[in-house]
Amino acid sequence: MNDVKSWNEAINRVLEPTIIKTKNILDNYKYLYDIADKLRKAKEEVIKNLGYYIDKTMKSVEMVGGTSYLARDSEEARKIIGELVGTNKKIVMGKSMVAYEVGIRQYLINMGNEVWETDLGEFLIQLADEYPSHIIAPAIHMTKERAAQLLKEKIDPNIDESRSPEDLVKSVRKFLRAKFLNADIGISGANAVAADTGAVLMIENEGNIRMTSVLPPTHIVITGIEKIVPTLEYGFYEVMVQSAFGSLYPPTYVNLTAGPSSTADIEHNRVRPAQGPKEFHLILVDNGRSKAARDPVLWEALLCIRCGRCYFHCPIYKTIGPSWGIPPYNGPTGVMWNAVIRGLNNKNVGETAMLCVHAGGCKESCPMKINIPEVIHYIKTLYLRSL
Amino acid sequence: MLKNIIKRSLQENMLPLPISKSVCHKWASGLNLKKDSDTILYTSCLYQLIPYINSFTEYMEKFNVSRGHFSSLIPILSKFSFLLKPKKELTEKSEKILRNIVNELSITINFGYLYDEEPYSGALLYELGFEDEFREYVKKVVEIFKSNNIKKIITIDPHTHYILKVVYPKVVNFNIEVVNYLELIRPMKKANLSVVIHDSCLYSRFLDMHDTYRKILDNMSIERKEHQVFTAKDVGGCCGGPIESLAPEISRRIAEIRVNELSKLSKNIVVVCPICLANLSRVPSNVNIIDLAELF
Repeated sequence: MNDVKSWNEAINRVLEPTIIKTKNILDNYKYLYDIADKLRKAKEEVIKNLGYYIDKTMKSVEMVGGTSYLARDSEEARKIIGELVGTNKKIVMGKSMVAYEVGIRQYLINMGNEVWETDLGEFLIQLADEYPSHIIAPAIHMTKERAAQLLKEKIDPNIDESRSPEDLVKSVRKFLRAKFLNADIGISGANAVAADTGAVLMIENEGNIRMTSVLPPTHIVITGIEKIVPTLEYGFYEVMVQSAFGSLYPPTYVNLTAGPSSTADIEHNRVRPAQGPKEFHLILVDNGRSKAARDPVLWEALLCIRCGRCYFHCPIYKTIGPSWGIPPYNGPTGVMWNAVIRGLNNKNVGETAMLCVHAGGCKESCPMKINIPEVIHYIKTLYLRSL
Repeated sequence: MLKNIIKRSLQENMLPLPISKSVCHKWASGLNLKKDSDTILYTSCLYQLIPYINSFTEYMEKFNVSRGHFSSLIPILSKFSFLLKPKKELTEKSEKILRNIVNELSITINFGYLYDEEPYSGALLYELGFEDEFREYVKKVVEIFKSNNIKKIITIDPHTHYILKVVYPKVVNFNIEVVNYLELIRPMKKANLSVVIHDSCLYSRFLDMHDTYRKILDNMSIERKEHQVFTAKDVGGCCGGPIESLAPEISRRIAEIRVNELSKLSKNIVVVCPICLANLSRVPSNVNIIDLAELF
């Protein structure tokens, strides 16, 4: 019951202002709808021709001096990253749902590495040993008071519950600054990967991804194959649409990384590395995505750009919170995503889908116009047929 | 299994709950609606079922039937018809709604009613995800419409309207015209009242009728309190009804949250759907849950 109460308390502070903030953004920057439509078409093209675009992306990454890998499933992804990292390394991580999906952090810790999440929300849930409660706001279930209590226990005894959010951020900044400077490897996710150039786009507000991707000598990006867009132009569309519909626009930072650091300052001839990372690795994760791409209904899930807006428009998420889902994916899009990565015949996925009330707020709020209720209805139908 | 209860009830009397068919047409006695019209008012028995649905949901909650474990629903419900005791005031309320709809519609259109031959639409099977069973059942419904030479159907609730208008044509050869009563009526009565609308998810977000009933209220000079979040079209302010038989406790919490947020805008909450009426009425509160048709 306490869980219910604390969830209601936390979501009530967030939901209404976030919905209004996003509406205002979309009213003020009307071009966003137009580029969202263009982005959907481009993503449809990639989903229909995944094999071609994966191949093209991997070649493009090699062209800019990086290395690329395709992991068929979670196990393969962990193996690839394990071999790249080794043991006794200090690792900083930028926010990545795919890293959660394949279980990177715990795997690397078990191998004898020191691993720190650097996104504030992720950092908080790492300290609390919990799962993300929202796709872009992982610690949304924590009130300020709970976050203060946690930081006091784990990193800074001087913090108390009366501290402002600014004070809390300052403490974390001090703690993480040392981790960034000493890190051997930075691991981040991606919002978009441009097939034509091998450029990876990462959007953020905190500056942690910028540091994760530039300070350590090695930068590893792990992301799903559905994040591929045909060209860099669409990559920028994706970060614009994602941040706007995710309620933070403009984003404070958009990071573009195309291979390891480089310079052409001597005779205008590009050489690598320069000041940033010496190595750049891109791990593209399939883990059910290419199978979903061939499904007549579930394929639409792959259009999701993970802005997390649908969560705030869903009565079930509002009422029962992150428990509606299977970690790390929850909320309306999470029902679809669990079907993508766990399969349409997974019993737990089916039971999750059964709670959908088809209120349709998800469909109305989705920048990619994914018919989420229809996809969930399909998951329900297959589940009930299997009983 | 819930599926078995619904399936058996549908087989036995073409209703989703094990109750007597007479419950569905009792309200129309004395109205002298024609039985042989090619245009019919189609209730799908939904308003009539509200009192029974609420009683059913109470039992589901009391016996802790679900908690998410849908495959292990306790088969207590085979004896349910003995246990379902509808509340008198809900029965009276639903009869008043139906009669008001008939009176208002009669001004603009001629129509009949199938009385004991009126089948249930099967919407519940579809919404729960029993698609195969739904497809089978729909064939029977369409046969009944055909054998009565029905050309036009007037629906009076969003679930039935959506199922007939959007889903039927996808699963069966269906060329009967479907209109919703809200598109036909123009109530002239004026009321000195201030209300907040609890939108029907289906009307609002699946059938593009978010403004249809707003215009009706405006014409009746009824003040509507709107809120940029809580009454916005893109916010899924569900009543919790669709999962009342699967997860009654969560369903009730959704209703509580909804009543709470709307009551800050007005103590008069207007609904346009029998399921919303049923589920929001489960919440103990000092607000009035009013069906739009009660205002005519």
